[in-house]
Amino acid sequence: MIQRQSLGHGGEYRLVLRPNASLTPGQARLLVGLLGLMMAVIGFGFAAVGAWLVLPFSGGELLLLIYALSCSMRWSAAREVITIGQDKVFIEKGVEGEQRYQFPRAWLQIDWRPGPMPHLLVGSHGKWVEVGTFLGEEEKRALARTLQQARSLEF
Amino acid sequence: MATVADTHGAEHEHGPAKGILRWITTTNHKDIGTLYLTFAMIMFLVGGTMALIIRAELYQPGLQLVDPHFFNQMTTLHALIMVFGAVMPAFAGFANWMIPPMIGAPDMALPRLNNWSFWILPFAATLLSATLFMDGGAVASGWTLYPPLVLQFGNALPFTIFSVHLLGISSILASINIIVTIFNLRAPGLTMMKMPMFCWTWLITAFLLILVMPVLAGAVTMLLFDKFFDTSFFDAAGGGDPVLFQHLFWFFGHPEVYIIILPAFGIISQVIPTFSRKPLFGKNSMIFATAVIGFLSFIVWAHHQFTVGMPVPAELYFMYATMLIAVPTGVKVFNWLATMWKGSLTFETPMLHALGFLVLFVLGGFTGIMMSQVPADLYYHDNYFIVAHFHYTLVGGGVFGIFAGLFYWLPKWTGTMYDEKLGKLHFWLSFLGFNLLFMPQHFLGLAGMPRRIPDYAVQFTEFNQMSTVGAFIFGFTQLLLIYIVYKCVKGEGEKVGDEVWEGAKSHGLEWNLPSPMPYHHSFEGIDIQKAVADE
Repeated sequence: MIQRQSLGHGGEYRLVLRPNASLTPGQARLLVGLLGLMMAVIGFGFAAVGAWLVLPFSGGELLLLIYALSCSMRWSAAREVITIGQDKVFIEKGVEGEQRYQFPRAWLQIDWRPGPMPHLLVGSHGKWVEVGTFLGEEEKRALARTLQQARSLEF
Repeated sequence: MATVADTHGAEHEHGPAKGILRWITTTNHKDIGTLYLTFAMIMFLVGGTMALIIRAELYQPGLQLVDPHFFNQMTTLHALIMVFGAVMPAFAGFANWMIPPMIGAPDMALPRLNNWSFWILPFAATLLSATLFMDGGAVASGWTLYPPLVLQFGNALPFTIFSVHLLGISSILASINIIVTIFNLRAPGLTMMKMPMFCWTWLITAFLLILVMPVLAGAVTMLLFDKFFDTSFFDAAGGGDPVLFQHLFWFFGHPEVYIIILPAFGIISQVIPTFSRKPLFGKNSMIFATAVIGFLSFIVWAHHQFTVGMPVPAELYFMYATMLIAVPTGVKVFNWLATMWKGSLTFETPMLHALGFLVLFVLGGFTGIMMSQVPADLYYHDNYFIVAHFHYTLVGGGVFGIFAGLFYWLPKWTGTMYDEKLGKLHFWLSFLGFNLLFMPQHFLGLAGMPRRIPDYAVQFTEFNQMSTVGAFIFGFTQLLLIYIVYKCVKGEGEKVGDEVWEGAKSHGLEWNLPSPMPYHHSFEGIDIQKAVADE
C-alpha cells in the first residue's frame, strides 16, 4: 500500500510503500503470550503428574512459532520511501532504509516493463532502481503516474 | 484502493518449473496443496486397502485370510495412516490451496517452511508402512499405542514412534504457517470477523494442533524411554502408571477428532450457502461455536477412559462436559439448516456431499451423546458400536467434507468442470456403500461383538457380511473419484468462468480470480477492498 506524506515545506512530499501486514507487533506479542500461557498450563500440568517430557516439546514449538512470526513480520516491515524534493528524488529501501539512491528530479526517467507482474523502474544517467516491488499492478500504475507528474510539475 | 501483490520478486515471473524438480523444490502454495491432496489420495488408497483386508477377513467367522497378529497390525496401521496420512494432509491441501486466495494473500507466509512441512510426510509414511516388513511385523497395539502392550513389540516400535514424531512435526509446521498467514497476510479491510468460515475453522484447528501435538510427542517419547532407557513412566513395577499414558494420549486424541472435523465444518459452511444462494445463517455464532468446540475438546478427554476405574466425581464431570459439546455443535447444525431454509437450493455434487455430511455427522454425533453416558459407555466400550460411531463422525463427517470441498473447488483449480453425472454417481455409491458398511456395526456392537478381533461368534455373521459388502462398494467407488479428478485435471470437460457457481462471488474472494487460478500473483489487478466489501 502507498501512503503519501506532505513534508510541509515547498510542496515536497514523501511516498511510503509498504507490503501488506495485518498483524501489529503488539498483537503478535499478545498471540505468543496467550499461546505460551496455554502451552505452559498444559506442559506444567502434565509435568506435575510426572510426564515432564511434554515440556521440552511445548517449549520447542513455542520457539518455532516465535521465529516464524518474527520472520514474517520482518519481511512485512520492509519499506520503500520515495521523497520528492525540490531538485532531487530520494529513494530508500529496506527495513531501516539500508539501500539509498538519489536522482536529479528534472532528469528522472520512468520505465514500465509489462508482464505477468509488471516492473516499475526509475532512474537517470544509466542508473536504475526498481520501486513498488510489493505493490499490486493497479497501485504500481498509480505510483508510476504520480512519479511522472512529480517529474513534470513545478512546485 | 489497495491490492496485494507477490513479494517474491522478479524471479517468479515465470510459470512453474518443469519436471520432477518443480514438485520437490516448489514453494508455491497451489503446488504444495496439490502435493498434499495427491499424497492424501495415495494414503487413502493404502489405508483403504488395509481396511478391505480387515473387512475381507471378517466376512465370515473363523480365520480365512490373515493370522490374528497381522490382522491387528492392519487395524493399527489403517488408523494411523488414515488419520495422519490421509485425512489431515487432505485438509492441509485444502488449506494451502484456499487460505491465501480467501484472505487475499499472494502465498502462504512461510513458503519454504511449507515445502518442508509437506516433504516430511512421504518419508514418515514410508517409514511407518515399512514397519510391516520388519522382524515381528508392525506395531499391533491399535493406534492408541497403549503400554504395556505396545512395549512388547520389537523392532517396529522405535520406527513407529519416529514416524509419529515426523508426522507430528509436519502438522506443527503446517499449523504455524497457517496461523502466521492468517494473522499477518490478510488483505486490507478483511477483518477477522469478515474472514470466511473455512479460514476460521482452520485457524482454530491450527491452535488445537500446536497445543496438543507436544503432548503426543512427549507421550510417545516416554514410551521410547521406557523401552530403551529403563525409565518407568508407564511401568507400575517401577512406580509409574500405564493410565498416565491413556490420559496423555487422549488429551491429544480427543482434540485430534476436532482437528479432523473442524476443517470439514469450514468446507460445509462454504458449500451450503453457495448452493442455497443465501449468506451463511448466523456466521458470528458459527465462529463462536467453533471456538467453543475447540475449547471443550480440551476438557473432555477422559470420556475415552470411563472403564479405567476413575472416581465417580471425575466420571460425572467428564460425562457432563462431553454432553456440553452437543450445544455448540447443535448451533452449527441448526445454522446450516437455517441457511438452507427457503433458499434456492440446487443439488450439484458438492451440495450432495454436504448434505451427506450433515446426515452422517449428526448420526455420529447422536451416538456420541449415547456414549457420553457413563453407565451406557461401560457396555459400548471396546465393541463395534464405537467403531461405527467414530467412522460416522470421521468418515461421514471428515471424508464427506473432503469430497464436498474437492468437487466444490476442483473446477476453480483446474478451470474445467468435473463430470457431474459421474460426480453424482460417486456420491450415491459412496453414501450407500458407507451406510451399508458402518450402520450394521452399530447393531454388532449392541449385540456384543468386540472390536479388534479377526474372528467372531456365528450370530454376528449376517451383519458382518453386509458390512464387508459395503466396504468393498465404498472402497472401489473411490477409484471412480480418481477417474473424475483425472478427467478434470486433463481438461476433459466444460470450461468454467471465474465464478464457477452461480452467485459464488458473494461467498468468497477466491471466486474473483480466474479459473484456473494464476500460478503467481493471484490478486493482480483485483481491488480486494471492494471485493471484501461486496461479499
